[in-house]
Amino acid sequence: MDMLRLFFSPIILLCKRLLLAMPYWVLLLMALYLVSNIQILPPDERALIFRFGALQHRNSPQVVQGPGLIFAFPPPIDRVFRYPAQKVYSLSVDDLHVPRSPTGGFLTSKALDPEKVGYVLSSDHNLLHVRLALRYRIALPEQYFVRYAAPQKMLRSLILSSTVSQSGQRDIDALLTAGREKWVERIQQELEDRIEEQNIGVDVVSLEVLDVQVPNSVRTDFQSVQSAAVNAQTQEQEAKAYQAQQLPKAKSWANKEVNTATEFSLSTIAKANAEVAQLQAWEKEDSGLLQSRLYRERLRKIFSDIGSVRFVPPPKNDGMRITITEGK
Amino acid sequence: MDRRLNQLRVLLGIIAIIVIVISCFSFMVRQGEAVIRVRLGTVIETHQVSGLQLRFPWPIEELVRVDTRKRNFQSQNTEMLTKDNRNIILMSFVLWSVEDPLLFYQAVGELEEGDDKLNGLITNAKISILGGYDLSALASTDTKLHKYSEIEDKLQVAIRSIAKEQYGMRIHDVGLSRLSLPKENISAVFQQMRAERKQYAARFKAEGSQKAAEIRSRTDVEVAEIKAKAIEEAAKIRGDAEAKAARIYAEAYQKDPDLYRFVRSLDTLEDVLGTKSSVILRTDAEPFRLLREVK
Repeated sequence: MDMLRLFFSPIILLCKRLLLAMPYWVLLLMALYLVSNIQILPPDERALIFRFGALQHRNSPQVVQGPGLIFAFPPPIDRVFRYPAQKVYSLSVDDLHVPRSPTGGFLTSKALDPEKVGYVLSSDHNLLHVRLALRYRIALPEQYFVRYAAPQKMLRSLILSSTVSQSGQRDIDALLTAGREKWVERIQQELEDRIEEQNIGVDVVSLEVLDVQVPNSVRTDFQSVQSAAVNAQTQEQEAKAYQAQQLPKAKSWANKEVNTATEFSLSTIAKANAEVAQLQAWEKEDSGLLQSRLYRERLRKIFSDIGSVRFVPPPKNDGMRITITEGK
Repeated sequence: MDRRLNQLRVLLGIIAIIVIVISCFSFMVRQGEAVIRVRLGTVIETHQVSGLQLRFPWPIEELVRVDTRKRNFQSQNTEMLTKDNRNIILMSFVLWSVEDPLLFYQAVGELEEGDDKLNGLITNAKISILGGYDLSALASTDTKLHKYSEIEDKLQVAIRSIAKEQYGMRIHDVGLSRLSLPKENISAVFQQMRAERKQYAARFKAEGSQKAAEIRSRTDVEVAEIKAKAIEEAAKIRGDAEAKAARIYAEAYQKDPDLYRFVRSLDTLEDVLGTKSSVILRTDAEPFRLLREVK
């Protein structure tokens, strides 16, 4: 104890003299310097503290500080690294697409130079331009900020690898149409597996396919397939319209035919019944008088409508030969 | 006052000397970094634990700092031939870090040179490994043929030990980030794509025509069936009606055949003779003979 007192007493004496000799403004500056690294973190921020370069509380839950008041020694002793905790980062991947021209449109390259233009190869060896965007959050900042020199570059490489791998397992029609959702799901799944394997410390929020296009040189041919499909549908629709028109027409005709036959049936039977009823009424009359009456009535009616009547004299004794001469 | 000022100057001087001495005899090892202490040309120690460490000041000791964080190296496009003689262009990436800082510093030097070393390793590995696979190993719907992951694993194995033993580098992951075709082959690929699309278009056209024709012919058959049934039914109705009428007439005939025949004859005459009929009668026919005999 006496040895310790002997060793530290000059230092203590020096400090006392120091404090007594200091002007107040110097003491104030020193005090300000000592508290200069005490920070207040807002609710959406967190921090990592490096003391003499070493991350504090590594491999423990306390490695991430905040929100609230953060006590840290002044630099160069402590360094406080702040980052937005809830921010969703975006990473756009254009490497597999046609680059934009300086005027804002898209460059088209008939030759598709792989140094300049990106694409994926489908399983049936067709080419497709793809643009993706990754949205992610930082889950383990000590991994993301500390263990990786350029974490976004790493993520980009993993996205490219997963996209190329999954695209090569599907034909172009699946990538362009019905299989697209599954394709993106698989890319995201593979990406998440690799992120976890490498412990990059991010959580994938979503992976979006922003654009999928066939190369310009074959776009017309793809559109012609679409046109052909539409035309085929149109032909089918027209045939169905023909069907919708003809069947009711036929049914209507059939109904009319049956109705006409029914009408005929009713009128024929009614006529027969009427005529028979008339005959039954006539049976009550004298037959000779009835026939004479009927004969005259009908003759009158017939000769009022007839076209022309010619009278010829009866044949002479030599037979039935009748001579007709034109006259007035 | 002067005495106090002098005391202050002395004290500040002492503080400055203390700070300089501390900074000369200590250094920080930052997180994600390794520091090699070289004393008079001899490597004394490699510090990989972050924090404050002691040292002798320059020129007695020099410090070499090596970034040990994981880095991503993206290779250039490399053209190669697959087993089935298909020309392809591959770009790959390597995730690596410095595992042995001293070896890395001695064998490689700067981090950019590490990328160069890796470029050589990975290019060589790609050419030799891909020569054992068909193109279908990279692009195929058949999962049994698709060997993408297997190729990536093989690449990693191929460069891992050399990178570690020769350069002090640790390989964490290797992947293929781009698969392209030589631009000289692109026109052939486009031709294939066009031919395929033409085939699809022709198929759609044929299918559309076939379906339309089927619907139309089915419709025509249904229409014919409907009409035939209607004609059959109508004929039956008419036939039944005429049979019934005939029965009715037959009953009437049974009762008074003469009257029935007479009336039917008159009906026939009325039906047969019309406005276009010309009748030639004898002058002695009834009742027209009255036209001669009445004086």
